[in-house]
Amino acid sequence: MYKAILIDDEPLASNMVKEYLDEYREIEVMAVCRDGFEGIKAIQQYKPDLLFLDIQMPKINGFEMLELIEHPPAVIFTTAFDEHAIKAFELHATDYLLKPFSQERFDKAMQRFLSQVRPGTEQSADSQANNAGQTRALLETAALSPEQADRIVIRDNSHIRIIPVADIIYIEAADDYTRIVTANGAWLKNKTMASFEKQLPSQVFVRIHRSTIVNVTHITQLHPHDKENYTALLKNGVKLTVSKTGYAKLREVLGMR
Amino acid sequence: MPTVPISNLTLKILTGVFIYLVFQLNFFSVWQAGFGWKVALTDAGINLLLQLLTARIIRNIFRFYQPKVSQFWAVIGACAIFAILLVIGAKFLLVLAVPGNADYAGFVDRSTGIRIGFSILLFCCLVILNLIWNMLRRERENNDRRHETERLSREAELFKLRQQLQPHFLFNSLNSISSMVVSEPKEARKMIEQLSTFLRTTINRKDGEMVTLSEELEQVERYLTIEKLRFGHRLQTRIVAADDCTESRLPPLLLQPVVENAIKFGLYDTLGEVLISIGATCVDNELLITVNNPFDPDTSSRKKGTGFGLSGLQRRLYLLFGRQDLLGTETSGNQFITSIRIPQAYVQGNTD
Repeated sequence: MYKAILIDDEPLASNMVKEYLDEYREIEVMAVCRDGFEGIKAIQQYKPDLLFLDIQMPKINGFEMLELIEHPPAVIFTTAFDEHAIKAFELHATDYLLKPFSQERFDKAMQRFLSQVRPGTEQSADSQANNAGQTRALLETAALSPEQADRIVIRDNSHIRIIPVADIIYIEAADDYTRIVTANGAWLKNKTMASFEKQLPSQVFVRIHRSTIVNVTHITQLHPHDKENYTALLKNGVKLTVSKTGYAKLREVLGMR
Repeated sequence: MPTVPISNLTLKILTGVFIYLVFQLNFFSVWQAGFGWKVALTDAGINLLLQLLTARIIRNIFRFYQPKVSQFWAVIGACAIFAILLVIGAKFLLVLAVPGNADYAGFVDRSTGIRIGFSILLFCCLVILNLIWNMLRRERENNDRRHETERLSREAELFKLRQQLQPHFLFNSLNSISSMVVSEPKEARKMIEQLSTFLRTTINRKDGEMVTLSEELEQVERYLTIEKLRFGHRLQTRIVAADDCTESRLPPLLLQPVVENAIKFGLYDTLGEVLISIGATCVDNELLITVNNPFDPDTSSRKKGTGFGLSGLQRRLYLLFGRQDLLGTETSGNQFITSIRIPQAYVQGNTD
């Protein structure tokens, strides 16, 4: 028996998936959610094996919801028309269902899922690790879309926050996570420095060090620190280390000769 | 699409070949006349230099100057005169270059006729080559421009079509209908009818023709019916129009994008139930339409400013009425209010 959760803001769309799922005795629908917030709660509660996930939803889209889940299950994406999402799917060879879809097309996606999870198939453990990596890469691409580019969604215990990119003062590496610092507090997110560097506008956010990305509008002073490094003083009094290459990038963005 | 059979390089090579042939002819003629190779080479060399200079001048003149058909013979004539002058000039140079050789001076004198003949022939060939090449280049440029214009207008048309059809709305509606086909076939059929009427009306509306408020509200209602079906109880709508306004006129498809915007921000920027309300009143011979939708002041106002993607509408109102003050937006708590004023005097005058 496999547990599934349906997440779509249009009830009729979920109804159709439920109807198509009738033929699958081994799938049990645990919850039908109408937005990403309900989705996260249901995923925590039921630990599903499979998600049916719509992309365009209120407040946070399907990709952003998935970013907030520690170990995402297998996902079958559904979308009606979203050029950026479709580009991301194509780029990462992810299967997705274009609405409206037929039972036949749906069955194909289900066969793919079942062949991956059914015990006895040798590839299962391998392909699951593979899937996780693929999902991560897909989410990184999706974060570059105009809809997502100007906000960061983070989870702080059970609370979900949407942080406008302009509010970020700096971001620093923190073990496997990154710490996002704003005037209202700091939060951890499971996302790499490199992918933040790609997502954030390069005219405002500069990677001044291997482990720091800073919003240049918050820098008030720059001093030499030692032979190699500089120190950046921020408006809020925080001092950040600037590496030699970081200093070169900073000079370029700030237009210093 | 190579419509030009000769390139710039071919033109240069052809010119070079012509000049080289004339050079050879020149050299051997002088040599055969018994003047030794030094004199022959000097003669041919001076002519060669003058010819190269001329070729360059012709190239530069015709790069910017395209004679009309009626001027063709004038150009050839001018060319001939220039060729004659050049030969006369060359004569002086030649005699100077080979001093104290009366035989040669006499030969140069005697050969003036044939020299002029070759000079004219060479010049005319160069001019005609240049003219052909210029003509073909112009044709190629025209072609490129035409293709570019066609591509742009095609893109604009596609964009307009896409705006009208709103693929996201269309495919989601089809998905909803597909979902209802089995469980509620009668409802599904009704939805297909609504969607068809909505699309037909959208496609048939012309940019120039004004529509009445009641027509426009009917269209908006069709749209909202479909959206309500898609989003179920989450979406509530209210439309209130004053009785004396129903015959007021407004440009077609003006209200539609505002309502779409309200739906987009109302539904995608908030959670829970959403009420979209539309009101219409007539004040001072102006039709005033307001659209209210909830929004989240924390995320959207900072994200998009107060524009809410209405700049296209602002532009359209300006083009239609020449005024910048007809579109207004304000926020009150978590409500976003868009208001549009349509001056009726102008509209009435314009429909005649």
